[in-house]
Amino acid sequence: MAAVKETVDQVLSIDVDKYKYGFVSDIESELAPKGLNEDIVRFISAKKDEPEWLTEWRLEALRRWQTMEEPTWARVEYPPIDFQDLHYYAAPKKTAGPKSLDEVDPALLDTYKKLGIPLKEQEILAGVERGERPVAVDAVFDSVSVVTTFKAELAKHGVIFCPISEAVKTHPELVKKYLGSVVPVTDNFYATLNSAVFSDGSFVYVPKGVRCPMELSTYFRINEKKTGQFERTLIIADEGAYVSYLEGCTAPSRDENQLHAAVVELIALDDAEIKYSTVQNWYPGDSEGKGGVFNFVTKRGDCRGKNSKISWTQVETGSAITWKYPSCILRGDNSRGEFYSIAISNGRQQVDSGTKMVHLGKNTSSKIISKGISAGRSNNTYRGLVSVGRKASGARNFTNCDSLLIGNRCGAHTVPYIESKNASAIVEHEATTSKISDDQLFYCLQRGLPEEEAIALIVNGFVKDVLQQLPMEFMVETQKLIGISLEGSVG
Amino acid sequence: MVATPVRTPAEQALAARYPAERTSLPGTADVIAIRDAAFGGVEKSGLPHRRVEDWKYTDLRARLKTFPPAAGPGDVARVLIAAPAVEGDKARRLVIANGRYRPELSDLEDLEPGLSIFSLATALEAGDATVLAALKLDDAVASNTAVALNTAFMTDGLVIDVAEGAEVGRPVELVHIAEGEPAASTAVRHLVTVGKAARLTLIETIESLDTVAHHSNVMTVLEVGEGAKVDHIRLQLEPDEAVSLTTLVARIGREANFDTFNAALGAGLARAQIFAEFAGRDAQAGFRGITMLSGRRHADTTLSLIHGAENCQSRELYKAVIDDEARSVFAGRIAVPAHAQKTDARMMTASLLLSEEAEADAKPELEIFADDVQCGHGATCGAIDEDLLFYLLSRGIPKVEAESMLILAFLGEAIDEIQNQAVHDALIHRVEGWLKARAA
Repeated sequence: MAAVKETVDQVLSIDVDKYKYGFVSDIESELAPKGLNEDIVRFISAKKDEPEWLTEWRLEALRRWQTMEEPTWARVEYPPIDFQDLHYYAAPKKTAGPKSLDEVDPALLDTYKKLGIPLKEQEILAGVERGERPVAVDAVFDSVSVVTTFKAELAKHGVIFCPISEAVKTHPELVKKYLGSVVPVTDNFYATLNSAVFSDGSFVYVPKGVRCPMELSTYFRINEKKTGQFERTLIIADEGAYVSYLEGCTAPSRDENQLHAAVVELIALDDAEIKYSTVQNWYPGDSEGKGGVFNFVTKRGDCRGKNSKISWTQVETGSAITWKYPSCILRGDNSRGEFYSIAISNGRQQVDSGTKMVHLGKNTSSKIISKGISAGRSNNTYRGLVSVGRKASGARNFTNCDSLLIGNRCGAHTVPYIESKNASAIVEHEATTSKISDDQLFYCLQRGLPEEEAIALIVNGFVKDVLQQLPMEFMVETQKLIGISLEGSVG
Repeated sequence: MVATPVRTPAEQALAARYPAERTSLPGTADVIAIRDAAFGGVEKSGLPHRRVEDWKYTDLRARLKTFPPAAGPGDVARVLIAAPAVEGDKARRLVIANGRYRPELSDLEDLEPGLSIFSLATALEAGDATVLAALKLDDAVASNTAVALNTAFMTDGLVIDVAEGAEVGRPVELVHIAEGEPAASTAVRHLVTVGKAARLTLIETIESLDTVAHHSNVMTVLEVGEGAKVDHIRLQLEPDEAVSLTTLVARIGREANFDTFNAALGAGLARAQIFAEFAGRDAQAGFRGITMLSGRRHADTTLSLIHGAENCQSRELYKAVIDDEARSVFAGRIAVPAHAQKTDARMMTASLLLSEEAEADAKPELEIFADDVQCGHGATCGAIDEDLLFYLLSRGIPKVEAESMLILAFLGEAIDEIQNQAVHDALIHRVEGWLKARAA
């Protein structure tokens, strides 16, 4: 089917160029000078008006980072990053503490409007009348959070939802207690870099026994060129609490690469549950692999308490390079970790993603469902670890990772690590790689479906397990995304 | 930051041994050059440790306490009376004692037409061009530490040729015996070429007559010709004190049919490596093995298979039973390049943990660049199924016996794939012996 394949390639090559969030907002920014040294770290810390202990914390991370080497074990290739040629702080000029939305730079509001992110509470409430659920949004633009909605409504329930830079001032005891307790400062090259220069991100604290009344969401946008975004998110669910958190991200189409090195820490105490969902749609670069975001992210959840649960759901469609392993440390007895992932790579994207499930407590259980779809000239790797400690009696893991290849210039790889030190633990892993089965396709075709629709149907079936885990808000968008990614992929 | 590696006693012993032995090992100047290059690589990087991905779970630097001197000729009389590892297989036994091929102890009568057998040492001394060419390996294989050490120190081995179309009826059994005290090390290399449409069953047994910390390093390079059928079985039977490194390099030709089975039943530290490649289309291969561990033993099976041609089919099945404080490692990697369409591969590994202290590590890896393929892998790890055990107990079978039945059934799935009945029975017999010892 050579001719058809060519059509496929053609359509797929248009595909990365279909990135619709690639516009640049013309907003005047305040930038830190390029480079990274103690002065820059002090500059960032001073900009955020941070207490002395945090400045020291950052400086220590910087000193540590300077002795570390960039990791090279992932199956990704990219030109060396000049860490001294980046701005480590960029902020829109007119944002110094807007009291209300009216004070926010209209150009900024426009940007979020174009991205389809509702920032005006009235608008969102209008949405409620149309039967949609309200979502509280924290909008992070380059290095600062520009606005957080529904804060008052959340405060009524005792839920703290604010930029982390604000939490440092308003709730220093919580930040000090939990920051770096899941991902230590010295964890890895990018986490350490993040600890030194982290800019903004969300802070969530849900008090004992509270079920967070609405979905919380953060929307990240990188706008300025030659910048790195260093998001830091910290979510704490106290005993018996529940929170569902969504994260979205986009960046303009630029020829040079942008760096996004985030750290996300989740802490679930006794009987608490955190559900964390991501739709990652950073600019993937053009069809020749020029530009795009380098997404080097450390995400880790700590099921610290008994019967706690952390669930990661991710849809990865963007970024030139993804290096991301949302993990669960199952410390508390009977705690549960889940990881649902769809990673779609296209063009020349490179994805190396997966999860780590570290079973430490008794009767802990984990489930990993990962679906990788590679097309174009992309490479898509699942890399995961399931580890069962000596004391984790009765631990249970089920892993299923499937890959689908579209075209023969892409690659799909599976690198699972399974380490069991406890006989009563049961660990199961299964993985398959295949193309869309001719039988399935034939069945659909003989029922009168056009080929493209049949493929979309089969692929949607392939990823169904994961899609069902997404909050409603994301499901529609994701299904559309998968539609775009596969349009015309007949073959 | 270039840190000077701290040399372990084993590394120091190696560094002292090679310069002293290099010129007395068999081979022309060309062979010495090949040995030098191989040893240079090991000397530069040192023994591999857990930071080296291929040795992540088998930290050779930490686990190799010493590297004993080269083995002496050994006591032929003791080797002569040693009981064969496999009874009744009518195999043609070729004896390699303490790293030296012993034609006088070997069965060379009535060689089948097309079968030729001669000594590697002789070929190296003569500078045989074909043999020299066969020493050349892909970089990925040559740089492997166990392989490089084998290249540097190999003393002998067999060069076996099966001519085009020849059917070798009797299995050929390579009997490796280590004899004598104190502990010594051996390195043996076999080069086996099976011609177009020829047939061969090749059995390897590796054993030691003394319970001392012998180190053995046995490597077999196998060329499976177009349409040939080759059955390869290795029984690794050394005592708990021993260190055993084995390597199989196999190139599988078009429409060939190849099976290999590895039984890791002995040695305190064992690593069985397989580097296989499909070199022609429409071929089939089976890679299987069992591991039985108790005490503080450590066994590693590392498989790297390149599905390098179209429409090839492979099945991988490795099973491990781990008792006491033992540790089993399986690392399997199947790579499918973009042109290898219609590949069909199924890799499965299962571990049965019999004690609280046992450990199983698995890394079943797939690397795929072709879209029209069926590749799957599975891995499981757990204790004996309570329900199955209960069923047997409720039938009045004592617990220990019930467990033995279930373990035998678990391993049987792999063992039953062995086509040679005598080897199959000998292996079952050994498994039963192991289970009896466990029950006692």
